[in-house]
Amino acid sequence: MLSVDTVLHIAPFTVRLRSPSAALHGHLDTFYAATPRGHAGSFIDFDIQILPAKGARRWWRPQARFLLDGEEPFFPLPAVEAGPLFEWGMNWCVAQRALGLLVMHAAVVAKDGAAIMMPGFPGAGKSTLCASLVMLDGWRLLSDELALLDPADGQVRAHPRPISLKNASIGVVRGFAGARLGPVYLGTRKGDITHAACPDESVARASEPARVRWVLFPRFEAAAAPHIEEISRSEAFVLISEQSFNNERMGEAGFQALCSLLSGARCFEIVYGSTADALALVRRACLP
Amino acid sequence: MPRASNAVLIVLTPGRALRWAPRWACSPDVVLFDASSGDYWLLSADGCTVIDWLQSEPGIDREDLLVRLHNLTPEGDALLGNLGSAGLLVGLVDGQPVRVPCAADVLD
Repeated sequence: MLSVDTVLHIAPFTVRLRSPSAALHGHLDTFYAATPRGHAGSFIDFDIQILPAKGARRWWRPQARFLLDGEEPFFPLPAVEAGPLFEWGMNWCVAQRALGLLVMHAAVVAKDGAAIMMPGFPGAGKSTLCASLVMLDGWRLLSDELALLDPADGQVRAHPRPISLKNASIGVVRGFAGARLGPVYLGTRKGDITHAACPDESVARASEPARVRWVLFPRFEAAAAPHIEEISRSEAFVLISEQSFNNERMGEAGFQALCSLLSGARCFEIVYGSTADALALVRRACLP
Repeated sequence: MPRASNAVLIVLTPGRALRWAPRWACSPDVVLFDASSGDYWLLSADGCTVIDWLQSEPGIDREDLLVRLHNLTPEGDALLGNLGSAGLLVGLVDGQPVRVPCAADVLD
């Protein structure tokens, strides 16, 4: 009997998810309780199964496999990591198959329809800053990981899912009032990881797009003095393009959309050594 | 023995669908995008001028191009070489594509 067989509307996508994994069941209970459910007749963007590995791996050091439309695009992970496997697999699905949207590796938060986009470079502190803006400064979470730019109207779509946290950022975010974290997975391929729940209000307002008014390139440096510098839109274009998953496929429509986004935004590099410093810099640069 | 450099016609690399980003006042450089491949370049004002010329004319003799560039930059030869290396320009000799020559080729 399946532990999970559900249709989730994780805006702007509809996902069918099937799995016998109790670990995945717990992950959904923790992080997707407020996510709207679809029905059996819904149009499905991603048909995902998370299944046990075959053969001896079903019993000995059991593993979980991620399948999209019956295909297995990557290697299995330990069965206890079924939740993170779903999150990573969803990132892959969106990056590869989000038709009609320019997909960029970036966090997005918004207030009053005005968004901050924070393209992510590994170790830059994007997720920690994103979590602090959402949990401490009242910004709405559109996405921690994937900015979805719609060329039709030049706005970014919300894609509310839990915030992925790694290593030292786990302890930082755990200290935020109202933060709700899941189990910590020790020693994964990405180090120690966990997730922080997306606020219910951000899930409830997932149909509201936002227009990017600020592009921030954050860089965490331990003990660094806080620093902010405005950079040119051309430079920002190059940096963002390095973080785009499908700019080749989106062609001219994606290019024009990104140019339009940048024409309406100011772009900054910020360097900070603490959450308090980062929030102070953002408050200075990004006044809704 | 290389051919004389004035026999080289400089053209935009065929097959590209080049699109300009807006010329944002905050930046001296301009983004040029190829909608066919997803490639992009950050071009100086002089580089933009060369591309503009070649978008309005089907091809320009290399020597003529260098004369025109002489009024803009003393580095016209290097600029053409760089644009060629970046995959934006090719040379044509008797209709056959060749690498955009630089000064070293001409001195051979």
